[in-house]
Amino acid sequence: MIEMDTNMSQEKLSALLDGELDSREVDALLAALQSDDSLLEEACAWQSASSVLRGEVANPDFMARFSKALAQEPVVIAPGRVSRRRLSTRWLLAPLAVAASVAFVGVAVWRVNPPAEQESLIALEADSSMYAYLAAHRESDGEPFIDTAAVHPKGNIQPAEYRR
Amino acid sequence: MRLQHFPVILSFCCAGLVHAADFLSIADAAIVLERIARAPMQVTFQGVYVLQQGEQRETIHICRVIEKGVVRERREALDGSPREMVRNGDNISLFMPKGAAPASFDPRNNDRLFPRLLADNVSDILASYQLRKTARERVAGVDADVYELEPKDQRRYPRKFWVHAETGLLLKATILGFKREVLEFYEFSQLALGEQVDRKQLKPVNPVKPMVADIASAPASVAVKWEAKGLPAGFRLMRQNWRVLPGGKQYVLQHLYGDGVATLSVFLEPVQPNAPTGKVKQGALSGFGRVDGAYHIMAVGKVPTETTELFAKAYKPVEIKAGQ
Repeated sequence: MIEMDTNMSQEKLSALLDGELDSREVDALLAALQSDDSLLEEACAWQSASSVLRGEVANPDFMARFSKALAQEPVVIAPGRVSRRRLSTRWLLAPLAVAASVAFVGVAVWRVNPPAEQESLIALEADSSMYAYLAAHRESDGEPFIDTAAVHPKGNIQPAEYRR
Repeated sequence: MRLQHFPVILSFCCAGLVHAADFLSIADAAIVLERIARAPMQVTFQGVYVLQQGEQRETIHICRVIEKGVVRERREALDGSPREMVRNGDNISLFMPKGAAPASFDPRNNDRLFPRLLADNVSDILASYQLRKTARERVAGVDADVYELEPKDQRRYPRKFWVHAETGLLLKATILGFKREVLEFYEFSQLALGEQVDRKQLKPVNPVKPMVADIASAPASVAVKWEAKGLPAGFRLMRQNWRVLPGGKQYVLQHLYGDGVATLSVFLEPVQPNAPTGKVKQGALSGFGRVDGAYHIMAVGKVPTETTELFAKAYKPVEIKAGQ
């Protein structure tokens, strides 16, 4: 019975990463993630692998809630645990998952330990000012379609590298 | 893991196997690249393509008609806010959401949208890259020859081109990272050619407005000239101009470089409060900013971050003394 539940959750997880769940199902699954370490690890590895393969983050809504869930359970996302499991059970994915989980943990850690209020404001300003240069170059590169209203730099740009 | 994911994983693993293929000779590579560069100026087509830059994905409808050497074109964004561009020869009209119109507009380099991604002078490209043919695949229902453009150094990214076997038109193009991960791609999902193209598709669906060229000249009081020493090889200074950045007010000097495929801008200006420094990355786009005395130098391009760092660090301000 327990195994069946796990399988069902894994099925749900896969659907979630493909963006096929409604918000109620997402909430239920996040509750399951918080109470089930192995499922959370699965989520990390899948999210990482599929992000790398598709070059994108699957579901922003999921990422936001997932980060919130992580904030309450910061310990479970140790990269060592993720990589050991991947190596033993899914050798095909292992190199991907290991490489990707490092990047993913980087993001998660940044979200789990947000900088002091003043620092985070600076990071946001830096995002905006950096973005102006990126957009200016894209315009010069022949792209008239840059929608500055729709494309907010937050999330697209890695804030960890900024300094003043 | 769903079964549907496995073909993707398998193809990812197999991608490593094609590396043994030989590069084309410079003469043969030039013929292929010239065909790719020329096709958008000769072929009439209409279709839908997807582009992904970083995490941002868009679907765009294009209709491009070539008559007596004159390009007439309409592009319309199908996702997100409505945006539309209409070209009639050198004249461009745009429809953009409120507040999203380009801060300044320079028509000199604005016909470089997919599928016209290559510079006309392909010998520039072959100074920095090598080309090889890897396979034949189907894209948007037609046969495409697959080529890999490999950089000769680590200053630029590898690229892959899917070239329509019949016309030379780019059907798909990717920019790859050094681990062969896709950083940016363009891909037709639907395509019609020549006589199949409905000319009515050129008619705008939004109230487009003609764009007026805004090429600013140097401000009256320029107190600095710039020296750039030890720039990475293979990049040519294509133009320099003064412009206003999106959301900005003051004029910034921009030097635009290109290696025939990749482009890079260096932005030069008196340092402002909160001028960004350090590295930034967004898909294939990288940037590096630094402050040198009273000036801010920012390099941005579709190149590895290290290349933008080399450009930013190669620039030095030299104060112009009074009376000179």
